[in-house]
Amino acid sequence: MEAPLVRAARAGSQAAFGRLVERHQQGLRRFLRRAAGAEADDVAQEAFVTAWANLNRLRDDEGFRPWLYGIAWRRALTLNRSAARSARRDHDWTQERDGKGAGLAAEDRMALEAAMATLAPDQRAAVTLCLADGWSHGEAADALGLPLGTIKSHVARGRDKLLSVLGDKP
Amino acid sequence: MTAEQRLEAFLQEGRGPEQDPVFAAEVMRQVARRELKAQLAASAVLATAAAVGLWACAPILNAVIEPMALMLSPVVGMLTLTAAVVLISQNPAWLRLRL
Repeated sequence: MEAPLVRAARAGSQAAFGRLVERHQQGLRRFLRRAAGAEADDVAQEAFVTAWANLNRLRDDEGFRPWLYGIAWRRALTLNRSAARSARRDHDWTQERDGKGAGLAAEDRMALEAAMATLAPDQRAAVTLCLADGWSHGEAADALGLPLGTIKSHVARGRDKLLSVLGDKP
Repeated sequence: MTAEQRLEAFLQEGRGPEQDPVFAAEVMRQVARRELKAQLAASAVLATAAAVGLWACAPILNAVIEPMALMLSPVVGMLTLTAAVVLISQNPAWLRLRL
């Protein structure tokens, strides 16, 4: 579905790339906030710009999403910069999220956030993509550059760990 | 709520608006800036190559152009003078002075 937009963007169409940005920005930023923590918006912006500059390296035009997330994830793992602007946006997002999360008790959210923080970065990313965003294991494996079996293991163990802090048996 | 449902609710939190024009505009501004830099770099390379080419060809060009310049200089001089008169006469400041 995205291949025409990717091809147009690769040919130099900024409008087509803008459509891709609009389509993926929310999911990518949410993934980065959950999996990588602060500075998610800055990392997301850099990932989009890097994707624009390297579109000719994308082999499968339909695989834009895992490719983009892979760029962002690698950047998130290596970048360690201070950015008050991003921190402010992340804070706004957290407040907005907390306001919307009326169905979840505050203590549950705190326990789950603490449990998420204890997960290894790869495991947290796999849980976020597969459980929160509904990605297939294969797509997550492509994005994170991990073997399929590792992704399945990360998701299963991560889910068990998250459920365990809620007091019920998984 | 069961633990499964609470986990599901937690994972579904934070779904902000699908569209964020400010974020998208910032990304596209950076993309445009990157493109401009690339074009400027390409233009600089092209200009440098042209300059080097002209420098290398200078002896040949001089041999061709110098006789032409001597021949055409009266014509070019007249054209330049005419153009200068036309431009000055159409300058608003000059027109105001004449009034």
